[in-house]
Amino acid sequence: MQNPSLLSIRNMRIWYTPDTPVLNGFSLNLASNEAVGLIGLNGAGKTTLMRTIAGLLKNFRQESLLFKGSPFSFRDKDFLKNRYIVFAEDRSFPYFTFREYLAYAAASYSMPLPDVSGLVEGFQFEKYTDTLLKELSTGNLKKVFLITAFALHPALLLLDEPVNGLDFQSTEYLYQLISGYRQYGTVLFSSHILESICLTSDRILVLEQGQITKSFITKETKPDSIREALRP
Amino acid sequence: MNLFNTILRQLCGARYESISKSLLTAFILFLALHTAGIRLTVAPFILYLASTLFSVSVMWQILCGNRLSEILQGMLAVPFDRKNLVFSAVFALSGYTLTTKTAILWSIFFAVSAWNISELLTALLCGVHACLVSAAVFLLCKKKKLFSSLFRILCIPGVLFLIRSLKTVPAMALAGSAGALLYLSFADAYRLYHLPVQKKPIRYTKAGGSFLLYLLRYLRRNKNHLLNTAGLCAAACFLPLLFRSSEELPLLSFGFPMLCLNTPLCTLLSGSPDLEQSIRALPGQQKRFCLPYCLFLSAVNCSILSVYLCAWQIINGGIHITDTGCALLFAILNALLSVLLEWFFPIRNWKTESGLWHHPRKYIVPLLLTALIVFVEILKC
Repeated sequence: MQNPSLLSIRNMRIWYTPDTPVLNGFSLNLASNEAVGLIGLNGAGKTTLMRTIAGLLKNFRQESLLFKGSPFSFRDKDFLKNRYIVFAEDRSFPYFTFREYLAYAAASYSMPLPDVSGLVEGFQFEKYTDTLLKELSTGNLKKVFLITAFALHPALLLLDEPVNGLDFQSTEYLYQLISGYRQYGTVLFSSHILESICLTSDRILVLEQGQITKSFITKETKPDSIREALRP
Repeated sequence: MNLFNTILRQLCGARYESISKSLLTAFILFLALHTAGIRLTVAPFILYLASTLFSVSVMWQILCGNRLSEILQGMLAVPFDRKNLVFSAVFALSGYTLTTKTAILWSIFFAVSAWNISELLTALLCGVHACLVSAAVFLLCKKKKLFSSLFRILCIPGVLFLIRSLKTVPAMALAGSAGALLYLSFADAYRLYHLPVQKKPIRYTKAGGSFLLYLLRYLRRNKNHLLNTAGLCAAACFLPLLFRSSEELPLLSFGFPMLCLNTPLCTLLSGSPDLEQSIRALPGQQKRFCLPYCLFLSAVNCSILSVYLCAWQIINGGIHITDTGCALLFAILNALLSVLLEWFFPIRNWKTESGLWHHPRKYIVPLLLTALIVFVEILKC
C-alpha cells in the first residue's frame, strides 16, 4: 500500500532571471517514510530545488503546494520545523563547536538535546566534538551537519550531495543511515553517484531540462538498466 | 587577456563596474558638497596624511584578506612569470584601492577646501606611493617576521615625519615608490598568497549553544574586529577634545552615532553568506539570532559610549543623567537598526573584505541617528 503523501509540488517554475527558468513545469510527489534519490547533470537544478524547498529562494511560482495534504508555503513556521537541510558546501557557524551547534539547532527546532553518541561513533567524530567548526576539515564539517540532521529526525530531510568530502567508512555509514531513515520520515537526497542512490533509495528521480523526466523504482530496476536509460 | 586585467576584473567585476560606480559616487559627492557651499580650511599636510594613511589601510586590508589568495590560487597553479605576476597583482590592487576607495576621500577634500593642481598631483602621488610601499612592505614582512612588528611601530611616525616638510613630499614619495618598485622586481610571487595559519585547536567543552557566546567568540578571535572596536574606544577619548572648541553647539550627542559605526560587527550576515544561508534555513531565528545579536551590539555600543561619556566628563564636565539615558537609547537604537538592516538588506556580491567594510550601507544608521539628533535639537529650540 502506498504511504500517505508528505510533500506535493505541482507545476513549479523557479528562476534566477525570469527569461531563463532553472525548473519549469516541475512536479514532485514525496510519500511519507520513503528515501528518494535525485540525480541529474551539473546545472540541472538539483541544488536550486533543494534551496527552494528549504525556503531560501523567493523566485518561484507553482500551481499547488501541499504538505501532509494541506496547502502551505516553504517559509511557514510549521513546515520549517518539519524539515532540515544539509547543504553541499557549508562553512557556517565557524565559532561554534559541534556540540554547541547541535544545542543551538535543537533549541531552534524546540527539541531537547538529542543523544548523538551512536552517530558520533558511526562517523568516527569523537575527537572533534569540542573543536571550533572553523578549524575542521571539509569532510569533518560535513559530518557536523549530517549528524545534526539525523539526530533531529525531521519529517523531511533534504541532503544536497551528502557524500561529497566524506571518507570511505563514513560514506558507508551514511548509506546505512539513509536506508534506515524511513522509520523517522522522508529523505530526499541528490547525488552524482548512481550506486549510492541505488543502494539507499526506494525511488530514483532524474532531473533534466527543468523537470523530472524519468522515475525508477529501485527494487525493480538494476543500476545497469538505470545507467543505460540515463545515456543520452 | 593579460594578468593585470584578469586580477582587476576579479576585484572590480567583469566590466570593471566597481570602478565606474565609485568614480560616479565620488563625482556626485564632489558636486553635492561643492554646490552646498561647505568650505573648510584644510592644510595640505592633512590631505597628504589622509591620502597616505587611508590608502595604506585599505591596501593592507586587501593584501591580508582571503580574496587575494583566492584570486592568486588559480594563477599560481599554472606556469607563470614571477615579475609579471607580482607587478600585475600590485598594480591591480593599487588601481582598485585608489579608484574605488581613496577617490571618494579625495572628492570630499577637494569639494570642501581650496586646492591647486600641484596639491592634487601630490595627493595622487601620495596615494600611489602608499599602495606601492604597502605591497613592498607586506612582501618584506612575509620574509622577515621581525620586520613586520617594527614596521607597525614605525609606520605612522615615519609617514608623519615624511610629510612634515611639504616641499619634500613629492620627492620623498617618488623616491619611496621607486624603492618599492625596485624591491617588487625581486620579490617572490608566492608570498602574496597566504595559507591560513594552523594553530593548535582550542577545545571548548561547555556545550551551551548560546548565540551570545558565539558572538563574543566572534569578536575575541578576530583581531581586526577587536582593533576596530579598540579604535572606536580611542576615538571616544579623543572626540571630547575635538568638540570642546565649539561651546555654542550641543555636540555631545553628535558623537553617539559616530561612535556606533562598528562596521565589522554590524556585517555579521553580510560577511558570511554561509552563515546567512544556515540562519535562514533554521526555524525560529528572529528570536534565537536577532535578539542576541541586538543585545550584543547594544552592549558593545554601550561600552564605547561609556568611555565617551567618562572622557567628556573628565575633559569638559557637565554630563547629566539625561545624557547617560540618551547614550543608552542611541546604543540600543543603533543596534536595533543595524540588526534590521542585516536581516532584511544584507550586503551581497562584495568582492573583497575591504569592499564590504567600505560599503555605503554602513552610513545609513549613523545618518538616520544624526538626523534624529538634529530633529530633537530643532524641537528644543
